Amino acid sequence: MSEILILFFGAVSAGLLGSLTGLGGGVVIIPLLTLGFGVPMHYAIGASLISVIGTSSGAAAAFVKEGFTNVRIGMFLEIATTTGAIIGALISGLLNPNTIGIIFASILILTVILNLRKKPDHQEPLIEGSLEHRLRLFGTFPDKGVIKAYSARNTIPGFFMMAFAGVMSGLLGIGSGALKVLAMDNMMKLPFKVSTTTSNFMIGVTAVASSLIYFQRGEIIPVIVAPVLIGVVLGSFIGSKTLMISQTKKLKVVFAVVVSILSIYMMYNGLNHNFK
Amino acid sequence: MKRHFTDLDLNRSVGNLLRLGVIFSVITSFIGFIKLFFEGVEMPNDYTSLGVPVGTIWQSFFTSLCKFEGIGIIQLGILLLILTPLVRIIFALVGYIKEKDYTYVIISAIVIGIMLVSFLMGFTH
Repeated sequence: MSEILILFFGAVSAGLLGSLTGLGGGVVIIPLLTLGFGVPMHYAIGASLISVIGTSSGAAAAFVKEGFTNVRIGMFLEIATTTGAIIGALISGLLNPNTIGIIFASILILTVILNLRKKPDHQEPLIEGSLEHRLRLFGTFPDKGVIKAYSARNTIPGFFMMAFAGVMSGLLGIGSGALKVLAMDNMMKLPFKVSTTTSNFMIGVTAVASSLIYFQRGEIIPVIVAPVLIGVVLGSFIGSKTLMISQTKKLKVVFAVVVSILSIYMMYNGLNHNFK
Repeated sequence: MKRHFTDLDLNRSVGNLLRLGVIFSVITSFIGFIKLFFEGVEMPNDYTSLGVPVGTIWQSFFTSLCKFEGIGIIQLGILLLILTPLVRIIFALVGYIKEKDYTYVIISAIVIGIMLVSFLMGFTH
């Protein structure tokens, strides 16, 4: 019984941290399950993927209504992320848990670096006749009562970056929101609000593509998934309610420290073949 | 006056759909989990023993669900959650058909196709 409670409260805090920082719960859930509870790596990835679908759909529901999410850009890039996710899930089936642990640790460090960097906020005008024009990868969003227009840029490199984000999501069971925002902010030069919310919108579909494979491989274990899913969704709900009051800058530093420690710990255990 | 189906309408219904899907799924999983406890299932000491028999996953799911077992109910909750984003894409596809935006009808159809591939790929495992 006490194990379940620890697992549940661990999931609540993972969901809370994930939604406060925008990184998603998977980053905390996987180390907690594998190293804290001795759950085999692939079962942990399965549980994390399911909780990622829960938090992404919950958060996307709010953002889509506010009008920041660009559903067209999301839909177009989902071709890349879902294809990547399938490849990632298949690779994951072939890899040793310790190798996955080491890749996980490397992506965590990358996430910390990307998250600490100052994010550029773009707002590019639409070029008539461009690929972005033909694919309608442009839109408007409300900003302090004013409607602002923007367009995407560099769609092709952005598309490939999104495919890579999809592979990592399917391989590691995380949302890889940081990689998605990198593709949309730095490459496609979308406004910050649009890229963040659209990324969240896509994470759910991406996770579904790989979870269908994990489910049928028998790696989504109900006894583990239920407390994790309920906990993470509850945590991210609390997080979304407190987002307004908390100071995100301080929080980012705290999270960077936590994730760095997790990363070193995962790397150490991966190198020592401690994962099941 | 005839009201046109707009992006905003689509966004609203998509938002509601996503929220409902998550709520239903979490409630179902919770019921399943409580049921599991009444069945006297303890958390195992060794998690490696929890593997679901591969190849018969759908049969074992349906059998478990028909018997109203905790495991089957949780799996139903998980499948509901997996289904939510899929239905969202189908909603969008219908929206694009109504808007006569055929580029995006094709794009959403491709995404649905990829999902089907993923489903079938898992099936052969």
